[in-house]
Formats: sequence, C-alpha cells, structure tokens
Amino acid sequence: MTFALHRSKPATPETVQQPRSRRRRAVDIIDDRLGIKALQYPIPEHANNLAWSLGGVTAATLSVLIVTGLVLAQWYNPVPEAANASVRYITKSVFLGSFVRSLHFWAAQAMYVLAGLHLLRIFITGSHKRPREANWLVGVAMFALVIGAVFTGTVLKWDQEGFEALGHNLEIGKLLGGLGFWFSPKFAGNVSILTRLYVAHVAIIPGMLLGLLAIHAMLVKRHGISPHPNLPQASGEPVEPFTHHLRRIAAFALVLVGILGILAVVWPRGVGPTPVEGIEVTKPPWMFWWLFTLENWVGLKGILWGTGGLFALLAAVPFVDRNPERRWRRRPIAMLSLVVVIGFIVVLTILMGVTTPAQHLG
Amino acid sequence: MKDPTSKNAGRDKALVAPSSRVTVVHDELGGARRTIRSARAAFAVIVSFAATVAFAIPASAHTGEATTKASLLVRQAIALIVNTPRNEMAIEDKIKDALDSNDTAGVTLDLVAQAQKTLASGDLHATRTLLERSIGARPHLSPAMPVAIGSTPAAQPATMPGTVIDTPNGPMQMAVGDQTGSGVAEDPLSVSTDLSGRELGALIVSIVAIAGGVVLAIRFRPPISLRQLRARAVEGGGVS
Repeated sequence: MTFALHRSKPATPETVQQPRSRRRRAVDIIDDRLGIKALQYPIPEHANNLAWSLGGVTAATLSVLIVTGLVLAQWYNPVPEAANASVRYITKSVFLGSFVRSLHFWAAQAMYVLAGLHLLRIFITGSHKRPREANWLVGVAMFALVIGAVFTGTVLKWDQEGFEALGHNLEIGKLLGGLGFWFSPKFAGNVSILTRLYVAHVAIIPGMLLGLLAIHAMLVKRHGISPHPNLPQASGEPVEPFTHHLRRIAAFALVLVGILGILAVVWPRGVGPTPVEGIEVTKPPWMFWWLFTLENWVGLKGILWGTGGLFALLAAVPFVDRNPERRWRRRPIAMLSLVVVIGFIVVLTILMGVTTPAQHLG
Repeated sequence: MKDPTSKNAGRDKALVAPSSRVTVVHDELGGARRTIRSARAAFAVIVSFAATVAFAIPASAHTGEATTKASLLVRQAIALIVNTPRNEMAIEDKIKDALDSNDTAGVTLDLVAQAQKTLASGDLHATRTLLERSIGARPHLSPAMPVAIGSTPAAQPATMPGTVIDTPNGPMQMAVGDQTGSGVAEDPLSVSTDLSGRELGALIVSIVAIAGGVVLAIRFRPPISLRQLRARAVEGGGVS
C-alpha cells in the first residue's frame, strides 16, 4: 500500500536555514511538554469526508451539551417540589436562560440523530467487521447511553410529560424484576427518584459516555480508520495528518452549532404543566414513539421487548455479519435487514404521531 | 501505512496458486461454519436474555387499582383540564368519581358538584377554579403564581428519616420515591418567539457561525475527492 504525504516540501538549504515562525515555535514548546505532535499521525484522506466525520461531530455535540448543561445546573433544583418551577425560572428570568435551555434541547436531538447516522454509516461501509467488532459494541453501548440521557433529561423538567415518562420507566422496572431494582422508588426510599435521575443525567451517564468515548477513540487509533470499501487496497490513497481531520470536524461542528443556535431562537422550548399522577395524556419525545406504538399493541412489555430486541440485534451484528465483503451492493441480506428494521421503526413512529395517547399506567 | 484489515480482505481466487485452492475452499468452509456458530451464539444470548426477563415478568403489566381518593381525582381532573381541555368526557369522569369517592378527606364536595355543573355548561375556566378551591388551592391566576394546597399530597406517612423539614409554617414532608411533590397542575409555559435584543444577538452569532463553518469546511476539504480517488483507482486497474 503506497501513500503520498501531502503538503510536504523537499528540504533545501534555504528552507533549513529559515527561522521558525512564532506559531511553529509555540507548537514546538507545547509539544515538548504535551507531545501534541503525536496527533499528526497519518490517516487516509477519505476520513475527512463528512460521512466519516460523523463520529467526531457527535462528540462535538456532546461538548455543547456539557457546556449548556453546566449552565443549566446552576439554576436547576432537582427536588420534585421545585424542579418545574426552577425550569420556568431559567426560561423566564435567567440571562439567555431560554436560549441556553433550548440549545441544550436541540443539541440533544442532534446528538441522537448524529449518533444514529454514525452507526448507520459504520454498518453500511462494513466498518464493524473484523477486527473492529469490539469498537462496534462500545459504540452500541454509547448509543444506549445517549438514549438514556435523552430519557433522564426529559424527566428532569418534571412536567406532565416527564412524569409520565418516569411512570413508564418505573413500570418497566417492575417488569424486569430483580434487574430493575434501581428504577424502583423504594430502592432509596428517603430520596425522590427525580433526584436520583438527576444524578444519572449529570454524572453517571456523561461519565460513562466519556469513558467509553476514550476507549472508542483508542480503538480507532489502534485499528486505524477503516479503508473505504469502494477504494481498492492498492489504490494509493493519499494520507493526511489526523490534525487535519480534527479541524475539518471543528468546521462541521461550527456549522452544526450555528444551526442549533437558530433552532434555539426560532423554536424555543417551553415547559409543560406540573405533573399529577394517575393520568396519561401526553406523548413522549419523538425518538420513543415507535416503542409506544408497541405499547399500544401489546402493553407495557412492548417497550421492553422493543428496546431489548433492537439492542440485541445491534449487539449481534458483528457476530452475524461476518462476511469480509464490505461493499453494500454486495451485501444484500445485510442491507435488506437494515431496510426492514429502519422501516419498522419509521412506520411505528408515524403511527404514534397520528394516535391519541392512551392510558396504560395505573 | 499498514492496513490492519489487509489480512481479512476478501480472497481473490485468481491470485491464489492452484495448489492452494484446496486450502482456500477449506478456509471458506471453515468461515461458513464460524458464521453458523456465531449465529447460534447470538441466538443463544438473545434467548437467555428473554428467558431471564420472562421469569421476572409478573402476572400483570399494569400497576395497582386506580385511586379512589377524592383529592387525587380532583387534581387529576384539573390536570386534564390543563393538558387536554377538549377531552370533556374524561374530565367529567374524574369529577364524577370524586363525588362518588369513599375517601373525601380534604375536599369540599359542594364545590366539586358546582364544578360538574359548570363543566356541563362548557365553562372550563370556572370548572377549574371551583375544583382548585374544593381542595384548598389558590385558584389559578397566571402560570407565574404557584398554587398550594393545605398539605403536600404525600401518599406515604412522614416516617422516613430525613424527609421532614422544618418550615416557618410548620414541618413539611418532602416528596420521596415517585411522588410528584406538586399540588395542582399549573398552566404550561410557552416561550414567545418575538426576538428580543438577546435573541437577535444569538441569532446573528449563529448565522456567523454557520458561515464561518462552511468557509472553513471548504477550505479544509481534502485536495482529492472520493470520486477522483475512485476514478484514479479505475484508471490504475486496481478496482476488484
């Protein structure tokens, strides 16, 4: 496999004798202490394609969520008596509070979508195949954590919709028997479950996400960026330093943050009514709609089976799809399975969109 | 750059010496067997998970019986007015259940009965006000004014240590477990989309960010596109 290093100039006596620029000297000083030049390792050029940068853009979205979340946490009160009121306070009385809260919301939507697109790209290009099976599993675990963050986040605003989401979660915890002990309100009877979900949302889930992200990144470094399936092995694809990949991700992320900012201004988030137990009158966030269609069909266990089934399928992918072929045109069974699963989720989502919420709890 | 997947690339029989074709066929059969074993393993994992969960499922997926406490039924009726004001049948059912309840502690039934009449006449605002008064809550005036009832609607007695706090108005039971901690449903808060100076500034910054990001993305794009790379590969005869 041959590579050509771009933008390298042949050494000449003139270039050797020219004094280093201030920027280059600064980089050298920092590199002496932090070893940042190690980031300049070569990666194939196709990695700078947008589709191959989705993972990095998802990570950038996580950064937005962390920053806006830190701001919101200064004014949010995670006890049931005050949670909803504190969200209203943030929205109405904190400087740019409504904008920050809306930015947090839209960044959460974007993270879910980008993580899903990244997962899709990995599957379609066969980048989950040997030897990257473990990294696929790490990615699936991260996707599960993203969904967990979206769920806990919607509960935290402690309005009718958030409380009903919690109610579903508690009932599913009962269905899980011993496995659902953490979701039981009796697990820590002296603390509201809202407070525990707050801890999960701001510490447990982000902590686990960042830990898995580090493993994910190390495994990518270990295995290298997967080759593009449409480029033959001996195509002589040029390489670029990884730092060029980082700056391209930064550019994409800047566009994304701008879009999220516009959404936050044009479609700001309000707060629902304070919750009352025993009624079910709201719909969950759109990413959970397909599960609630299953609930309408078979009851609460539909949510459990739907979630469990989806993640069991995702976890099984690298062990079932072991054909070394990576081009999507030559993987008809894999692509057909993908279309069926996505089609199933989309149809069930649309069905929920046109359905009135029904009573399932209590 | 070493490609760690090179050893896993699909084998091209044309490049394999004839004497090694038996080995290739044997390897492919082995690969098929591995695929079947992996599928079995995955299936076993899924079945095991399902069995674990199946044994944990109680007889019914639903919770206990619906409440019969009039105070909660009235709160539910108010919440239905706030959340689904067009669902008058459900609101009427809750009011009727509250009037028929055996446990009417903390509820002024006369006011609930009046609310039933105002609901029949179509006046939701009066219905809601009467229901709020029936449980001792201050009637809704605006979303900014939280309403409070005489005591927190705690389902549990104040026996859990560390959950009762002293307030100027006396001891107060904090909400624990899955209690809402809230009294009567407040109106939802909608945010105006009128642009203040701050929102306008945020909008301008966002637009500048998009423009800057697009410029940088174009500036930093790879010198050779994927299409050009593929064309090169085809010209070089390297496409398999």
